Amino acid sequence: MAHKNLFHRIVILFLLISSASGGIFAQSRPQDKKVTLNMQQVTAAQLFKTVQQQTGLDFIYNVKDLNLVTRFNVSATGESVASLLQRVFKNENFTFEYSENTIIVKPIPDCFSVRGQVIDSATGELLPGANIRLLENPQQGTVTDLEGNFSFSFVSHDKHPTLVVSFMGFEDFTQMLKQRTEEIAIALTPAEQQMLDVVVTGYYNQRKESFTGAASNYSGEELTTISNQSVLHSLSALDPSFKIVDNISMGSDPNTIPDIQVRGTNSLPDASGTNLSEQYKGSANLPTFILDGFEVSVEKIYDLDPTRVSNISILKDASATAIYGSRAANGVVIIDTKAPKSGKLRLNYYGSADFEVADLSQYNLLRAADKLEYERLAGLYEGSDAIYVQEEYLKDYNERLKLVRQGVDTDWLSKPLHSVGVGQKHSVQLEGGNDSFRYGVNLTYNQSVGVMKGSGRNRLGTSIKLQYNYKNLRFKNELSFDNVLSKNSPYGNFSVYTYMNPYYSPYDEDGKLKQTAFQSSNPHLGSQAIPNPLYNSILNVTDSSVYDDFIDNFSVEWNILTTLKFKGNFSLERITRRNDTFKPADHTDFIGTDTNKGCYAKGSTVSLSYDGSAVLSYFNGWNTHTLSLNGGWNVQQTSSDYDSYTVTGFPNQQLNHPAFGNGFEEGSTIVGDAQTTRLMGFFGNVNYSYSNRYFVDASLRADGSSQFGSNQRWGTFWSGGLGWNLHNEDFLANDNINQLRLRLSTGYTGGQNFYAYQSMLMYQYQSRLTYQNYIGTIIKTFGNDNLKWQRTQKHNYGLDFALFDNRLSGYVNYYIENSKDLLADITMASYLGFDTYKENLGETQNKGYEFSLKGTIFQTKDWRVNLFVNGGHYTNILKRISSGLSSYNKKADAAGSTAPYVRYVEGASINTIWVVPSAGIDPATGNEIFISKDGTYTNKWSEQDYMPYASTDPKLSGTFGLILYYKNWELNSNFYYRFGGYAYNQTLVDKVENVDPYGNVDARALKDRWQTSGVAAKYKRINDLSKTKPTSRFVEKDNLLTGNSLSIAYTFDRKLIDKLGAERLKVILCANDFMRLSSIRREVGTSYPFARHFSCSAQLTF
Amino acid sequence: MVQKKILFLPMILCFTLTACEDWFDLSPKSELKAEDLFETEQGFRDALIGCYALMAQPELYGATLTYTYMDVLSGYYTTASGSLNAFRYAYEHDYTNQIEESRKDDIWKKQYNVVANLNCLLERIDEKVDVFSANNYELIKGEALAMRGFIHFDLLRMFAPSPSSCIPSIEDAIPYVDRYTNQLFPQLTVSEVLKRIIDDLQQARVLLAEVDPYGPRHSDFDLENLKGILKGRTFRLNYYATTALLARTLLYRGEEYDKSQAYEYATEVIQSNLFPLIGSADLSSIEQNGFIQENIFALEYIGMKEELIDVYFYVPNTSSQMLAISSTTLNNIYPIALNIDYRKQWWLEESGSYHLVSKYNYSERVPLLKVPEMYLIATETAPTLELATEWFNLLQHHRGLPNEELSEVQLKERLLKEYTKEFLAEGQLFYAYKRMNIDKTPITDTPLVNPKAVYTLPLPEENTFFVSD
Repeated sequence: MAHKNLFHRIVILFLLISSASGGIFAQSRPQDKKVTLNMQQVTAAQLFKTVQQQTGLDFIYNVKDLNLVTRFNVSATGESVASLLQRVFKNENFTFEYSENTIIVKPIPDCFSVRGQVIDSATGELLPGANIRLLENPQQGTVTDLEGNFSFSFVSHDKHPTLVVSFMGFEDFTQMLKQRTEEIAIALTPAEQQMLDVVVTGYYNQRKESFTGAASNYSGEELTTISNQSVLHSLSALDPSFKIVDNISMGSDPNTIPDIQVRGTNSLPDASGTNLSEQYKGSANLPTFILDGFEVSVEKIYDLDPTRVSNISILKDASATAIYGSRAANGVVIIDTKAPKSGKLRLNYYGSADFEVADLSQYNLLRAADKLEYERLAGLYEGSDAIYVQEEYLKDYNERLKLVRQGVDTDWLSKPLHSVGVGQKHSVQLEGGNDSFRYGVNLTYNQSVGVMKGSGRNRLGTSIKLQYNYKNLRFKNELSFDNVLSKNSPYGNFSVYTYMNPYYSPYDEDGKLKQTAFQSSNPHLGSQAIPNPLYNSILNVTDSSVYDDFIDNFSVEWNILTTLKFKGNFSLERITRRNDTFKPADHTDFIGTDTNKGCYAKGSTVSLSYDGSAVLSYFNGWNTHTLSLNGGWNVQQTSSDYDSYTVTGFPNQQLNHPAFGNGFEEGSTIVGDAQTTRLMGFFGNVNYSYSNRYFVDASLRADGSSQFGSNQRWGTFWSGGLGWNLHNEDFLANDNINQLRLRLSTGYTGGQNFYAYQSMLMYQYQSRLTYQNYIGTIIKTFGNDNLKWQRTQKHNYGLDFALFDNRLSGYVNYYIENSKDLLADITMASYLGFDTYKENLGETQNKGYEFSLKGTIFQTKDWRVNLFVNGGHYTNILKRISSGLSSYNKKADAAGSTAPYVRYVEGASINTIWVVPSAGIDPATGNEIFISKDGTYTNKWSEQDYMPYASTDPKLSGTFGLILYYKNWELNSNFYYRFGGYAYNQTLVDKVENVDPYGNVDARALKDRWQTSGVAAKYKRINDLSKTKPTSRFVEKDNLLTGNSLSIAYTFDRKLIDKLGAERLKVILCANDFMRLSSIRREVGTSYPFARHFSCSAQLTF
Repeated sequence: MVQKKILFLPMILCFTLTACEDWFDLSPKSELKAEDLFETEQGFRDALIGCYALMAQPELYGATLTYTYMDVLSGYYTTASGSLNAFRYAYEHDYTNQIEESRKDDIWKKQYNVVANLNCLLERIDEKVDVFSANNYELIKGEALAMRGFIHFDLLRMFAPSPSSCIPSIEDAIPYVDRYTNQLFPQLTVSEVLKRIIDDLQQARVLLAEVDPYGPRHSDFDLENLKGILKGRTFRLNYYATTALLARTLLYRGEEYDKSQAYEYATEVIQSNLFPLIGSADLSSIEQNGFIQENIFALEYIGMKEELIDVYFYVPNTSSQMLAISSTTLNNIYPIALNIDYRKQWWLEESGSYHLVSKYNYSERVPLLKVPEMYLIATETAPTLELATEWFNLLQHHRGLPNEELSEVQLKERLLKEYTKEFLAEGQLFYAYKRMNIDKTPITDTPLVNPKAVYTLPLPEENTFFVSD
């Protein structure tokens, strides 16, 4: 600013002077004018002034340039101006341009050549892909290669130009150059709260700046801020496309592994149900989880200690997932655990106390007197005209009335629950070492306690990470062992308690638990003993499962050339799992049986997997070109062996071992299975970017699998993408636009989440095929050698942006996913010997969008307020289905379910709710009136009138929240919302209309069911005990707002804790699932209640 | 230097790739891929044994197609008419009732499932002749072909009209499934199906003739001590079983030339003397009350007594599945005058006012072909009345009955009565009536308005499609 003004002044001065003295010196060349002077210790400016006075020549120069010239002595006698300037400034980089009356002083530009290396100051790791720019001209720059090295030559007028080194996830670093050729080492400091600038694909890393795929990155810090419980729950709160499928039934059961979907469902269910083993059902849409380069189960991630995670990437579209080929159709989640940092021995401790409080607010059950009144109104005690029988009914009623009058009103719901379930968690990490050798030891204990007494999940884990650098080689090995014990409550299924009548008492006269809660004798039901579920809790009941998981992960990195790198990885995992269920003879399950009471079911599974990969990466950057090439090979094998058996007859409950049983269950044998699957793939990727503005991305993978027909063993998957960094364009060079990137990509990925051998013509041996003392063998499945890979074509259009000094950032993605060649059951002519065979026939389409927006709305020295919102919406269409699925509709219709079920109709969505439209309850009779297909009203429900009534897909769903920083305080909130979808209120139907009137019911069954003629009612006639079939009356708007998490954290000042020898101390108070507002009033958590979770935790580093 | 190192990496990969087709070939423990199974002789044997095991299922010959359903259709069991009995609609030949429809459709499906298993074996056996030792290729292939013929023949007898009740060359019958495929088959006429069955049986007979210990060269074998793969052929589909089945099939087709052939085959089986009729001396032990020495082809079912026989023929378990014969019905089967009939004495047990089948109480074999039928076929097809009466009286003698002189008309009448007595609880009587196109129900002699509707079970409606041509 200052020199600009000066420059102006000089120009104006020059104009004035030239106009005044024009023509006087016009005849001779200006540089030939002679001067005579003798000056001591002058500045260049003073010299120019003297020359100007003598010759009338004006000087135009940059003040800043002249300031660099040291004072000097000069003398001249009649010397020409040109010769004088030449002589005086010969050591300075100036040239002089002479025009009529002026001399323009110009600096000669300098050539600079810088070489160097960029490293992570925290870990010492080299940073490939870091940006090096010239401050004065950001268009000029380079990036570091795979080894973090760069060399950069440029021309600058500035004598000491400044370089800006940036790498997202790290603070920017500026360095002024002192010499023209220089070798510098730059260490970047990691910036917390910033997204990493690389996309971790598992096999290699890609620069986000030139990545065309849709991928989201989250740091471990972000995850633990949401929840210290499970990585999966945190991810679902952070990413709009990562969803945990609602589980109304299992609530907050610590032992139910959540079902995950990324961008919706892509597979068709198996309609025949014959060839699939149960474990594959419902999980056909699970994404692939890669932990430190090794494919693991969703359970492993569920049990992973969130504090160990350093970074998670969710790869969504074809560009991001194509290198996973046949495993990529449902998305890929890459999880990396923290690497040990070098330096002196450091100890990190994380500890928390966790509290679980059951949320029963959705339950609204009848109290004792009301319940009995309901029974009377439902007509349970009006049986027959015969007086004798009627007397029996009356006797039963009076029996119950007596209990009510005695004041028995048991709150069954609270019996199996902790008022507060208290769990704890401790995690210790030791790390240290130097640049050539580093180590990290981790020890975790996590006892999570469920709200139901006796249920919980104990996780104990340890791991050792070693890293050794030798010349251009780096070896890493991680050995980890986990032991997870999951215990189910001896109190049994929670729903049993919701059905217990409040006028039953669990205790006898002595206040002891009795085995039978009530002995009813009703002419309709006969004599019946109602078991007391509480009684089982005092028995020696076992219902647990335990697994040991051992993983060794070895990798070697070899920097062959500065531009070429090899990485090899080998992992081995062995899991042993045991399930034990023991019910002693006294268990209420055996009321009414005389022989072989008590049973012990035992099952065990051993699985062994290995995974190996080798990747060669090439990375090179020239001035405006960046090229990266990756190619690799991957092989994996998984084998598992499972067996289970049931032994009965356990008279003594203390002898809870299968050896003490009387024998096998009648007719049962030991069941089991053993199988192995193998996969091999070759993959490659090219990424090229031109001047950081335009970039292309292409990937290819060929996968071979043992699960496919011998004619179609190999599948090829590919992707291609284009991108444009608008923010690097001149026309958008604007301080307010920090990032603006357009991406588009397309490609094919595959899916293989199904039973391994269904494609082949398999023969099975069975003991039931014994004939004449030989064991015979028969064909198990028809087999189809031509079965190919399911393929999902994914299109993605995306926009990433960061505006106003990065204060507002986010992304938008629009995607279309066409799944083709889905495995579907084809019905065969019945004389061909089999019902169905598998064919690649089904087609589905998912379309949707997702967005994420983050903004800093307020920022001062002490304050920072961030807001974020993300969301998404998708629709699904069945484009082509098989005859097997069509006949499934018929079969399902015939089964006459009271819950709506998926009907497979081409053009419809898999998420459609099919019901018969209802006109409501007839106030005259209390019967429901249905609207048949032709529009007429009828009393009769018929499956012919099924209509695609509504969709469960919400119009929008996602999360939003507020993050607030004040000095050392941090407040974090995260809410989940969804609206615009519908749901069938199944628990309401089941608790109000389809009730077992002999068990407890929702209060609305008494209050809101039709009783008097002429009075309109919401629910059908109170004494109508028929089952309500799917009707539009129970389709309700499903709008939901839940509080995922609310946390307050405080980080202590270093000075305060120094005395303790600690480096860092952070205390966090956190509440999860703390709030739930729903447009539907329904019982949630029927088999296991929902719970609110609170925790109080501390992070400490020594 | 570095360049060389890089080159060797792709070389490893290429090497791995070439070996990987084998690397992908995997099977679970309890299962075997077809291509691996049929690498050995044992594999072929196991697959054949599997077919016998399938045939012996209760839904096929283990019960339904022999002593329960098929004999309910022929009217043996009086209790089946009870309104709570599980077979009441079958007893009335109401094949459209939902339970009955699914029962017969299930028979159809399961029979064809055995056929599919046989076809899978037969399609591979010719390529693998090398894996067989001695004459085992002929034995297994012959047996499988005979079984394919056997099953198609019973499907034809159930689901298509008998040749005597229609014009067999134009009447649509069933497909003859002789390939393992998901392609459709044409619906053949009765004549075409019969021809295919006879072709398969003839081919089987030729294959077995030279090598089967239960064949013309039986004197070369020590039949008491057969070993290895030959063990157990006594009552499997051996040469004589195939020959007997041919006799049965040819008689069913019933053309003039067929009859003389049937006579030859029937007498060949009888004259082998490997399946002697029972004599009074044999009847001393209860183990013989199933007359198992007369079986040419029978299916073994270990545990049949407890699992099945006691369900249908045991009073303490009286249930809706109880199958018992009233005294009136019994007298229709075995006339009172002939109380000395071995069969009446040994095969039935009195239980109050009912009689229960006891022939399976000590045997775990269900006969599918037995030598008395050969005597009856010989009687029916004998070139002269004299010869016919001779065969007939031979059987009478071994049933404890006196010799008789009979006219041609009398003989025909007696023949049908003899089927009624001889095939109690074996599922053959229904087919005998059907073959002769009798417009009366067996046993009770009630006139039939529409015999075709009774004797021809409707084809399964769902999922039965045929190639149009």
